[in-house]
Amino acid sequence: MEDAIAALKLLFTFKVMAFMLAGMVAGIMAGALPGLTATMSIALLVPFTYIIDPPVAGLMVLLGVYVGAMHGGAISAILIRTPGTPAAAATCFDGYPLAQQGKASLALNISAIASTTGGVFSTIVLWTVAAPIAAVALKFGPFEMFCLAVFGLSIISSVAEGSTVKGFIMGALGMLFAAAGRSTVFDIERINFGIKDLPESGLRYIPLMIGVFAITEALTQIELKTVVKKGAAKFKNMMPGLSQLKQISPALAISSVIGTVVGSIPGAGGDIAGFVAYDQTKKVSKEREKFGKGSIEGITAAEGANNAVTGGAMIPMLTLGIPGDSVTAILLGAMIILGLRPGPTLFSETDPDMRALVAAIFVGLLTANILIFPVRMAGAPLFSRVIAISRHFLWPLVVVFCIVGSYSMTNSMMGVYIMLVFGVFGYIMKKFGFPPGPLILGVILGPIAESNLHRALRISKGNIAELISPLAVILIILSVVSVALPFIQEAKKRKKEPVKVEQG
Amino acid sequence: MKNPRDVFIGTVLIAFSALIYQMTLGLPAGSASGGLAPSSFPRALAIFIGALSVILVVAGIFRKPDGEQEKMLGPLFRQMVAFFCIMVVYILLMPQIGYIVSTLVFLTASVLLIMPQRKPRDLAIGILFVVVSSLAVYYIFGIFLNVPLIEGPVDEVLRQNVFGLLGGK
Repeated sequence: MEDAIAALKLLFTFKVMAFMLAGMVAGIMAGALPGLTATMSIALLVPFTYIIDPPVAGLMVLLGVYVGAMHGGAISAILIRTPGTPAAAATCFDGYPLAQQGKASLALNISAIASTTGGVFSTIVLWTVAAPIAAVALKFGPFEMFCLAVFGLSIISSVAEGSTVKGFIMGALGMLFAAAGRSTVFDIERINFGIKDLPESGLRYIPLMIGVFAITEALTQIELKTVVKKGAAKFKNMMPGLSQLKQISPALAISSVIGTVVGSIPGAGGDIAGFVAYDQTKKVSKEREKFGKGSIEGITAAEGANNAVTGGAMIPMLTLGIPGDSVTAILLGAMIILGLRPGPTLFSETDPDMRALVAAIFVGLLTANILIFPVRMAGAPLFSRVIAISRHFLWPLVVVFCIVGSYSMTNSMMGVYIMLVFGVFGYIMKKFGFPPGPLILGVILGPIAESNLHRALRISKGNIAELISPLAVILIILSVVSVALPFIQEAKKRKKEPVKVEQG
Repeated sequence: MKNPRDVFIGTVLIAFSALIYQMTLGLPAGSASGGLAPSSFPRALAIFIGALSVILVVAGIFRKPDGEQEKMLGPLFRQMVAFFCIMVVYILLMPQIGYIVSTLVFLTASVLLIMPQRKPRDLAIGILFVVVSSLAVYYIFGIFLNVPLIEGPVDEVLRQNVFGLLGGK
């Protein structure tokens, strides 16, 4: 309770709230713009939040962007049938048909209500379960922590869009890039390609992420001939009536629960949550036939679930230090840079200032999820226009942000060069079908895996048999299942498909 | 060869993993304490990447890609290459001439490059965008948030004579 009061004192100052609001607005705009994802927006802003004083304000900017971007994805999904973020994919099904019927404003308002409900629900769940999970995780020794990192890496098989093999290659490359340069574990320079002044791993990976996500996307988007679709014509502000609110309440409950649960499973993101909730809501709906034709329950299901993912995804990230997807991987990195140590020890901090900062994450996330509602309502006309921003203004400006951010992170041009190299690397790998998400998981989890295995082996004097515990066995089994499952599913899918006869 | 793209990138990755493996040979291999050696982790990763790349190559030889592959080069590939070159020049110029001038040059060149039509009205909006966004980024980040930016002679003049009057640090 004392921590919560201290957190409230930290948060409710003009400066911190102004930064959070700015983050939300930036997040909504970024989310609304197809091509700018939550992951990319957060990667772009991390270097600036590192400098903001007090640090809690920087943290709130990132949480504001995260929550805002998840909301913003619905705007373009509804107005131009293009999800601003992958998580809003299911929103297109009913959002766009409703906009076509001249009810774009109703669709946007319903999505705002659903998103807010989902976000608030999942934050309350996070608040409730985080400390007990962390208390269990505190019993983990270095070998269990290594197994946990391996389990975190095993989810690459789920986050790798397309080829699982390519996903694992990217994950391993990420671990390799994190291991390059000066090793803090061994106090030795290794695989640095002759570059002596590589910044330390923590500072290096922000320019790396900016390169892989933002520069890669800028180059990809410029290469494409995109036609800017025009949004729905001018619309009247239409708020849902009481009967409509009553109609969507089962969908709100279903989507909030599904989103939180799916979000807490590493590897399952907002897009999966949106589709699962959409499907389940359709099954229990009295107006099933309206789904896909402008059902307000359909929009509620998709949006409630993809926003409930925000709190759910933070459960493994904050309690175990294992990011469930690329967004939480970047958030985790940002928290480390801001002086926090996400993981079991986060909840047993003895320093009152740190305890207040940890509590501020929960209070801040809840506040952001509540405040976003009036922000979206008030800014609806502005946010609806964002989707029409010309690419010849947007992408050059994104590059300027990338360069300023990468420079400021390392206070040298080295950060900019790293960003450029990884921008090109990400672009080439994307062309060959390699997903960027696993790279970031590798960068974050690789050092955790290596340092904990090293510690465990030192304690046992190199005797691996001594390290095996029931918990480690469970984690190893979970990792094996997590890796094997997509291969089994893929094999099953191939069996079901008719065999194509190849010629020549 | 059913999937030449995977065969090509797989081969490149095999060569890369061999290079990394070779680099780890120069690192201490043993550990007196029973823990890992500095070479253990990167070497294991090099082997892992190499092994997966072999799978990629073999699969690429015998198996067609799932679904249709997108074209390697987008319709505006040349524009993207030109944009990338402008970006590289921008990065190289920045330490020499500072943030403001290099950003003005970069934004002008890239907006002109990507802009589909260059009507007088569009050009006027473009110029306004370039000037306002360059100065706004400089003010918000360099002055208001005190983010370190590369300073050139123009930046210094602006900081002292213009933004200084607006209450900057």
